[in-house]
Amino acid sequence: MGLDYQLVLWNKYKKAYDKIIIISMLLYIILFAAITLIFNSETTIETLVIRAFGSLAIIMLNIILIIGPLARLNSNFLPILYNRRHLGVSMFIAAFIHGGFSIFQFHALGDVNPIYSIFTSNMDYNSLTNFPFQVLGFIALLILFAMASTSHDFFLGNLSAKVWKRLHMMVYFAYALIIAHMFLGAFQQETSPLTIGIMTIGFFTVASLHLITAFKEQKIDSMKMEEQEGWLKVCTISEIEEDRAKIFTVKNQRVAVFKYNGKLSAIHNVCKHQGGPLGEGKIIDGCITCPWHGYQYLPSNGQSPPPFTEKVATYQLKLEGDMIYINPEAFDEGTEVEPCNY
Amino acid sequence: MTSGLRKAHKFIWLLLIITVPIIMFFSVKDLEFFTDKQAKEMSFELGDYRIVATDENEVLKAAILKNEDSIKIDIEIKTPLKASSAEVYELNQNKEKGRFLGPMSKAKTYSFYLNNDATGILVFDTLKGTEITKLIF
Repeated sequence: MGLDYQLVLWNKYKKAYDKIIIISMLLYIILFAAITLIFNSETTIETLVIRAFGSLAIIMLNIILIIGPLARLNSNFLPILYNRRHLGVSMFIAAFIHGGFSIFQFHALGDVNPIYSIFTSNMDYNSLTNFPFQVLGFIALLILFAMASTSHDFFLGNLSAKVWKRLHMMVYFAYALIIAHMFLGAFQQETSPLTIGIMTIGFFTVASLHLITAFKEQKIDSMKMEEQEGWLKVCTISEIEEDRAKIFTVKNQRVAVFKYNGKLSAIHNVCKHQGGPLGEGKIIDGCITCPWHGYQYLPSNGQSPPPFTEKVATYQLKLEGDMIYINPEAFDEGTEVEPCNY
Repeated sequence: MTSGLRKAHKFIWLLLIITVPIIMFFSVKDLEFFTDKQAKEMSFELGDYRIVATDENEVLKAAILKNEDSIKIDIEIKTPLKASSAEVYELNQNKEKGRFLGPMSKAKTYSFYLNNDATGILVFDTLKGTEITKLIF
């Protein structure tokens, strides 16, 4: 969380994580080149680069796509989620090298505009197996470019979280295009059951994790709470850990009820930064801290501590014995609500 | 995430898990995973075949071989092809691109079975949509 926009808000974890990304990418490229040169020594350098970076990009994309659901299913993966953005930009760089070399080798050496050539060199658009697969890869690359170039918080702040999130959800469309690009392109020429099998398993792993998470979340959304004179029964005090929260669905909105220093407060569960689940974070230095990127809010009014300006809605709680009740009507974002003392 | 975004994610992944495997299945269902490989690995051995014709140009040498049951062509690539996507097709009776025989890349001898009415072979760059070379029997 930063007041001013900086290119990267470095910390020791980000530096360590970026080193792991760079070393892993280099190792993969070296290993790929070595294996290729051993088993197919006549491969040209252009072909080697295209294949190495293309396969690297798809492996990285699969990893990126499983981080989200894994972090939802197991909080041990949250540190990787925190650093996912740099992995995404690195993946785009790999995809860009693959795409750039491919366009140069296959389309830039003729007398036709290379971009025009991508769309017109093969016009078999009504065939499946002979479909101009490079078009699919090119569109996917454009989407990845849009995402990588707007990944900085400057764009998140200026495009609005809603527009930014929708733009970045295009990655799923790009993923489908890339799978089709591989199956209708590389796999038509290199008919290895091994590579096709790995890609198929990769897709089903990613899709299954997303769907398992989606159905788990749906279960939480459909939980019914007992109503008593306009108040909804939440849980007992002892069911919430100190400096932590329990999440409930109130009028289709997730609400996090926090317990801290003998007090209880409830705020809207969705972080203003990237929609992170505030109720899965904890209270650090008196502030609710989002588990995704560390954005902070005061529990009593849902406001980020000055000079930050983010605000979320707050809710009124009451206690009857050990039982916590919540008023389902949300207050305006940033409204001060007296915490419940117990 | 808001409830709307959660629903959107679920819908997108339900859509993908239905549509993507369909594309995967139809794109690989006609691939010959093993026969092409076996054909590619075959060396130029006569066995009970007899050579009925040979031809050669600057890119390749080819020999047509026949036995009682089948007809095949052995193609020797003289130097590695510069095109990264070289595929061999039969030429049909109209001497046009016909049945797909298999892919070729490095310099070695490839072997493919032919239909009886094949009139030649075409080596084609699928990515660029251009003809690399052609042999007419």
